[in-house]
Amino acid sequence: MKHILLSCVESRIEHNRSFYSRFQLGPFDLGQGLTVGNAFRRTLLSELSGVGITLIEIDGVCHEYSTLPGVRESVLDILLNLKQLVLTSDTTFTVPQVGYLNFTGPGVVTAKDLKLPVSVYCVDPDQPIATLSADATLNFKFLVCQGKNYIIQTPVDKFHEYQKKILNSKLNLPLSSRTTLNSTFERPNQDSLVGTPLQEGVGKTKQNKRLNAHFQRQLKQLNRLKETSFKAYKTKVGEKTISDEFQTNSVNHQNLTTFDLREKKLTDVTTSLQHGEEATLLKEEGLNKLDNSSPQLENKLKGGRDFSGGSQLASQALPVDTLFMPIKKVNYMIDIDPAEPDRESVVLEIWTNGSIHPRQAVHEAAKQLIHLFSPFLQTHLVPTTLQSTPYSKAASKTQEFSLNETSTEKVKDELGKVAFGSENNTAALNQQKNLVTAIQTLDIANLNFSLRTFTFLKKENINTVSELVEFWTRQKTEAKDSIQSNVQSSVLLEISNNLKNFGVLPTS
Amino acid sequence: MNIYLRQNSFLVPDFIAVQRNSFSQFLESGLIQEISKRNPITNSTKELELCFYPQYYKLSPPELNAKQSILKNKTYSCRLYIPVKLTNKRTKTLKLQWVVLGNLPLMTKRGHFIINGSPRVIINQMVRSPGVYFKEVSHADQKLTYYADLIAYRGAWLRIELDKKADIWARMKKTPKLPMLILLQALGLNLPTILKSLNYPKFFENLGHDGNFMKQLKKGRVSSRSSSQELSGSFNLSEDVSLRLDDSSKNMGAENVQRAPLQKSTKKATLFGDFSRSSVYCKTQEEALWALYALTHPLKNPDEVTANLGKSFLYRKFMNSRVYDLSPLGRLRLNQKLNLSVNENITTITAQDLLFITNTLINLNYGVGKVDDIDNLKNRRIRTAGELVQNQFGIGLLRLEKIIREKLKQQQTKLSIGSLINTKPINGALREFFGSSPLSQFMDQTNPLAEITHKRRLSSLGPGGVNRETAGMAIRGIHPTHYGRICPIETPEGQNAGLVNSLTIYSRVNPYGFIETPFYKVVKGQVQNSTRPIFFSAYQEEKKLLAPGDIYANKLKYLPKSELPIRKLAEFTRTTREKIDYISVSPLQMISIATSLIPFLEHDDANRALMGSNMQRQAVPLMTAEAPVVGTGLECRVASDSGHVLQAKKSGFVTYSSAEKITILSPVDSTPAVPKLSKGNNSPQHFHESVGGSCKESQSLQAAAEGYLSGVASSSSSKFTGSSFSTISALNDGVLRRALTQKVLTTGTNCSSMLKNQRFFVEPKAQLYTGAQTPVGRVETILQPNHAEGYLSEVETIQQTQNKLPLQVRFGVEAPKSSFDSEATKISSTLNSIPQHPVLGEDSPSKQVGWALKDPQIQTMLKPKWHHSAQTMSRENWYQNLKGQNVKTFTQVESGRLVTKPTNTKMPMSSLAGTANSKKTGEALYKLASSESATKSMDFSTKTQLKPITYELQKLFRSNQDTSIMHRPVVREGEWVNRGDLLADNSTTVGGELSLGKNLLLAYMPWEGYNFEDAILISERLVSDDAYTSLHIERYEVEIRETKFGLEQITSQIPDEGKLSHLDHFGIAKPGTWVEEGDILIGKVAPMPQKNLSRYEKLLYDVVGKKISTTRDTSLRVPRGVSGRVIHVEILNAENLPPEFVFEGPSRVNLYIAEKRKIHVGDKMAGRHGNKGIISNILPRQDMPYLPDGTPLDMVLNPLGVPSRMNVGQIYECLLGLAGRYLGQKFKVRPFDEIYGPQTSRSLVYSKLYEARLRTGQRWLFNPASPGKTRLFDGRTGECFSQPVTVGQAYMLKLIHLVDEKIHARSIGPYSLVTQQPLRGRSKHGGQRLGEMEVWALEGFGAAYTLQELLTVKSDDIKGREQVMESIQKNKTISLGTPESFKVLIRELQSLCLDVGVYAVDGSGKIKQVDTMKLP
Repeated sequence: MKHILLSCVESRIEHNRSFYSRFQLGPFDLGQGLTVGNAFRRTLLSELSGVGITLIEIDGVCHEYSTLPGVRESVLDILLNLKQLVLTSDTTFTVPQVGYLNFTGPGVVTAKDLKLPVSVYCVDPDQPIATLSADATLNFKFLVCQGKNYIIQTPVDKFHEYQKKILNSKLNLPLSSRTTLNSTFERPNQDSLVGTPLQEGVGKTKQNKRLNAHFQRQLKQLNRLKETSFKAYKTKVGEKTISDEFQTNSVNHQNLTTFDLREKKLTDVTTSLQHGEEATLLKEEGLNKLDNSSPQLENKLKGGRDFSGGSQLASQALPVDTLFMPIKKVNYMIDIDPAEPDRESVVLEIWTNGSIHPRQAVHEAAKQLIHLFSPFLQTHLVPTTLQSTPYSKAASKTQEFSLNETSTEKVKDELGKVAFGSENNTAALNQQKNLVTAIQTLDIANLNFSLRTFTFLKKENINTVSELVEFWTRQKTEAKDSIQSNVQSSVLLEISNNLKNFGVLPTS
Repeated sequence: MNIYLRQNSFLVPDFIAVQRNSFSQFLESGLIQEISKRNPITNSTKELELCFYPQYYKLSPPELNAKQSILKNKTYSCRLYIPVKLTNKRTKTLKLQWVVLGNLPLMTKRGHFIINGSPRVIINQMVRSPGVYFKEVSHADQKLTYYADLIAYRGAWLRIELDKKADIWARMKKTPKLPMLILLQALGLNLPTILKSLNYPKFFENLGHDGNFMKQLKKGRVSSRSSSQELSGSFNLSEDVSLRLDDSSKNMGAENVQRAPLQKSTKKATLFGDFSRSSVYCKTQEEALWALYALTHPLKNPDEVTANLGKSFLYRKFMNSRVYDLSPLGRLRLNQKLNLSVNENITTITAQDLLFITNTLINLNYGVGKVDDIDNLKNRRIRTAGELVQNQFGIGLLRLEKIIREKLKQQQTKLSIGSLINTKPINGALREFFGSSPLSQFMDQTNPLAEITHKRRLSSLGPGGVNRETAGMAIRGIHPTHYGRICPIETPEGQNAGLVNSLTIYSRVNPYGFIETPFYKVVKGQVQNSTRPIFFSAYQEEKKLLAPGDIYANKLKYLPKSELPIRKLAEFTRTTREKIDYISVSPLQMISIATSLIPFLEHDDANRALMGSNMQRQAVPLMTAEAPVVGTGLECRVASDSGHVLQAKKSGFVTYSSAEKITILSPVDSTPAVPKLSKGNNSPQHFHESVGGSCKESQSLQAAAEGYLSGVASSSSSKFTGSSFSTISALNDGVLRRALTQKVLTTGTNCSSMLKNQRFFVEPKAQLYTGAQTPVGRVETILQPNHAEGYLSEVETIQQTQNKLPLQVRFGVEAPKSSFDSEATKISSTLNSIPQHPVLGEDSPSKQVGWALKDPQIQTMLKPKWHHSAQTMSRENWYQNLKGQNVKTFTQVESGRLVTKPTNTKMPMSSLAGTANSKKTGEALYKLASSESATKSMDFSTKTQLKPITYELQKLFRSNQDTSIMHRPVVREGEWVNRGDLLADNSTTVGGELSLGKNLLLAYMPWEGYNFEDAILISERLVSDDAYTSLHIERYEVEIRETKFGLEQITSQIPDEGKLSHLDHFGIAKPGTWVEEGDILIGKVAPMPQKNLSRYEKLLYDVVGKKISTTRDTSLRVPRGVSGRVIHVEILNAENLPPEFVFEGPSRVNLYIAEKRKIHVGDKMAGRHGNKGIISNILPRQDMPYLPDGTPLDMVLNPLGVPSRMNVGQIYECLLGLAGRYLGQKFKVRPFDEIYGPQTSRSLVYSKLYEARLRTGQRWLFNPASPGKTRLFDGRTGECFSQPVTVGQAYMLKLIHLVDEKIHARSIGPYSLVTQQPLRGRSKHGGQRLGEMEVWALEGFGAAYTLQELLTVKSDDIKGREQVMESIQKNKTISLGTPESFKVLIRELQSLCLDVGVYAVDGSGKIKQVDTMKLP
């Protein structure tokens, strides 16, 4: 059997917010391609998590339908712009993080002006947020969350309350020194699919302190380079159809690697540039000023005023219906190499919004899929723990039981440990014990009884498996004593069959 | 080759002009006319005389502008002042005074009125035009008879008819018919004249009752006194005869009917024979008058009848110009019809008219002449808004006159003008009209398109029109004369079909009220489109051979040689080009605005096109608008004419641009645009002097006048002239008003004789705003030239997403090169970009600014050729304009009429200082300042060369339909804008283009039944991306009332209410708070009577420490199903509360809640082709079918929705949209493109798809085997669907029928007070009717308990439903009452021959049947 490979056929940055890659997966046996491809497509589209702004509190704004003096966009537009904002993070965080923005007009507020929390970066520093006139200032703080798909919030949700708490409680959060992460291409892990994302950030600040014309020039040049190379690439792609390219993918592959390298260099430089820019900006504005106008302080002051019944309306935390989906589009195709007609490979095309490298996305999706499927690995083990008989039905029953009744992650994990037949026998035994007790307290509704039998048992006040076993043995003995009972033999038979199937009674 | 040659020189006229012109007509002449009609008002002795001087009327500026009026729930109106003179000829005194006649609601710039805070539209009425109409009636025996209706503008209705016996009668409402000869004679004609004038005098000779009369006539027999005695005796007979002969004569008294049989036998031929014959005549006019009166007043004692009475009757009915009015138009039409030459000033009936009507009628009887077609547009005129208001104003004046006459009668001494004139009658009449007339409608403001079409609507209903129930098919149908005037497509479905219509885009209404439509002359087959088009009304176009607009004219403007389709009258035939007289201006000529927004309209069935045009009006403005990829080119016109987008009034550069306001610094001409208003202060002085000096005739008069005038002088200077200034400033708010126009007094009136040689007012140099012809309120709106022309080119590529008006790249039209098949299309992509206006701050800004500042004239030259205001100013100017003398017109406009807001000189400095900080703007400003001319202009104090104009942007605002209206700035600081450029978008426009929906990727395929029966399947993307999220703003109103125990109070002290933190100290929810169902919006309490508590109760209260509340909670709470943010609170003054009440807190509050509505299952969506449906399911994007490139679809429609509906246009749109998506182009496809060859649409679509395939390399985009179809993949399985599917991108709208407003459920709820049955309707939380069919269903299934519950405790079983709860709690059986429905049920079962009954067991144990109907 050949090794299954994942190879990147083509990769390009269409622009900051659109990364494209094409992979070839395979070869698979005939029919597996669809399984893999479809699973990947669906997982990529629905299961990947992203980072987004979920809550925002703008100074002087009490509802999203108002406008700010001197700001060209209405608050609603600003919220929509923030919704569009593509953020990324190199760590996972469960607690929402706070970020700030402080901007005095005139100028266009873009994503690079945001003070983002540590480990959160914006992908496209030029993504616009608002346009300010000379007499305008825009101050707001916001929460950044990680999530999947999208959320629709209303201010009465519990989540909203929770977020509001966080937004108002955390006074001194470490802010990221660098606000933008131009490209996730920067990230390593080119060779291995499995690996933890690197923690980066702190060290890089030093090198970003310089900013001069030299860099500016370089940036321009690089941009031009980027454009032209991309253009060239595009035209090339434009001429050929996708299927054409598959056949010549070896060539493309080479091209791409060089392209990729160039790209990588380029992005490195741009990020560093931007960091520098930001630093000077900070210098210009003066940190003191920033501190003074920090939203918390102002809010505190305002709160005081409100309490005394001031007429000015307090600014409200406004929920943003956030999109977390990092993948824009996925396509796949099943390709059969004529040379090897019994094998097929999957060509997977991925467009991401720039917050994640397509390769990373494939990795994540695979992880998600594995995670999704992993519980099913346990099914082999369950019958052995119960030391019981026919594999088929009982197994499925227990499985169902274990998933339904003890669905907490912990138990699952424990089960998993058992399942993988770890060396720790005592743990396994414990596990077994637990299971047995669990089965004993299991409701008889889980057994496969006919309605008549079930109602009969319920009338007899028999609710759990243990009670049932007891009842059964009693009946057995009674039958042995040949004392006539009102329990019909058919019922008894059904009970015994069921219990046997369930593995509680010995077959004999 | 320019295929648009023919269209280039003429453009679509302004869409709102119908409304504005008519109202300005009213202000300019109608009002004056109407008041002049009442002049002078005298008492019976003619000693006292009251005289108005309507020419000098003035209007005060409205206290609130249009927006404020809406917020404050007030009417947008002004006070009407008019000078009134009262002369007492006995005491020889004269008084002159300005009085207020009333409040006149004003039309806003956008063409509607604001009445009590809600915008209203006066729609145009289509009525029969005054004149005479000949009609024929066919009887059961195949006989044809004729009659003529004489329709007057105002006054009695007269019908002259020929009956089956060939007698001719005159008929009026409420009177018996009378012989025509008598009527003619009574009007003063003698018999010989009559007979001589007739074409067929033998009509009377041969068909008369008997020949005697003629013989008698010839003998010249003199009628004697005795004969008139006889005559009187004969009248009783005649009545009865006429009764017998004409059953339909209604006005016979009951007694007459009883008398009739008695006298029937006594009927004898008398001198006059019986009056059942029309050939009866009289000897003299006197006799005829006598007979006329006697005949029309059958109940009158014949002895009392005199000839004078007859005369006055005639006068009263037809001769009095105050009562009867044909109007000049009616006179004109009578003259035309009857070939008369009666003076057009005579607007009453003359004897001549009637004689010739009789003649024509007799001619018809002899088969000469034709009957009229009442549905012909030449016979139907439009009563526009201004005219309707004018009529109503006239009614008010009539009432006022009555009151004045009464008062003049009563008191002779100490009369003052003030006591005579009252504002009530006019206010009342106007309020009646605006408030309750069926023609004054609550404006449909769902989106700008709805608004604009509402203002262009024509209704045949309403007073003076037809009745919706009785209107037949003919009047609803499409008439050949509708072509180019009334849209055959756009009309409502249902009972109003055909009665409510829409004006077409090119049509206009002429001064007589007829719709005109333009045509180009065709000379020997050549279209004369370089000359101006000629407008024809339906009457004028008769007898002309008209070619339709979709004939292709070649380069030399020659029509093809083949036989061409033409229309002549109602006939459609073919002829050669030489014979054609005129040709339509455009193929779009015959359709209305909404219809013309449908691309590929020609491929849609009319019924679906109708729905398409109606549904576009229902589209909800979305939070983020998106212009259609496939449009027709009229989108920008709709947007600009709707007045919802902001356009620059003057060129200049933007110094400030925010969501609240935009400031533009623009150079000012040396000639002041605004008339020198300071002069106004002088005018009263002149007035004073001149009047004082000239009243020499009587000293007393002079003294009086002086006293009065000095008063006026002071007051007017403050009130009128002072306010005139603010008037102008208010003009920026889009105000339509007659400003304080002051003109020189003209001679010729009574007043002028008295005030001869004196100047009443000083004439200001320039007329303020309302010039003689200028429709007021038209602040110049000019289209971006790109747009204007853009409309004309069929296909345009628009490079997208500039923040400005989209840069349009036009396709030059050349021979096909890249086209897919040979006959494909005549469009190739010669890209030819039209640059946008220069933007400051780039390349060489200083140069451009300097240039612009130095020579504004150059700017002027660069103006678009088309100029709206030119058209509205006067026709001549307009045509001149079209000829190319636009510069002149433009400057005229600039110097004379352009009104700008008076500027505060401080402002520009500060704004400049402010913007100087901006990097870009600052730079620009710096350069500006450094340039020579600009430095001058910075000196604001001396010579203002630069002047800032500030445009206030509309913040989020509620429309009548609760949708949201707001402005979004488009320009950026430092940009240069030309006059007419777009400054801000509306919520439904993008770059000045109307955009009501979204372009969606869709496919026509069935999907698991989720699109069965027009249901629609959509992707979750539309939810998550907020693609169809709309904002809705609702208004909640509360006013305190007086109750039995005292006044209510708005307060935050509400008993037993937990959640109060969101209320302010008044008890009103604070703006910004999120409120949910049941929350208090406005806290209100009503006093309660003191309860008498028992001692232990008091003790209990004391122990608990609770006070007994004396108030009851009557707060306004958030209604069911609503949640949103409070965005605005308006505190108003109470209206229904007597002023003496003292209260705390606000008395009347309006509160606005904004709600975001995302799209969800149950919402209605539609395309533009009448393809509508309800969302049935929302799938996650990974489950949606996807294209070969991986893009998931947004929407899946049912393919079965197309064939039977025959709206194929949607397929074309969808495919062209797909091409546009992949090419990054936008298309403007004008409907009716078959001019350019067969199958043009298809070729265009295919070639574009092919081009898209070539450019993107996506082969699937165009597959020659199945063009326009693509293989799709199932998102769930990843498998390919078995058939290729039509996939494309179409423009889909979300309609206002949202489920959120309709979803409703009830288990328990309120009951009606009287019937005790559940209420109906969602707003009242009502139940659904369980009708008989539902009862049958339950009966059929044997669902006895369900049926029992529904018929009893869920219905009107009062006792039962009160006990239910208790029974359940105590585990008792539920007892039942006997609801009415139960009795019905018993009866129903009995009627099925089932022996069902109610039995009761009495005391002795006997079972006895109870009468069901007597059950309690």
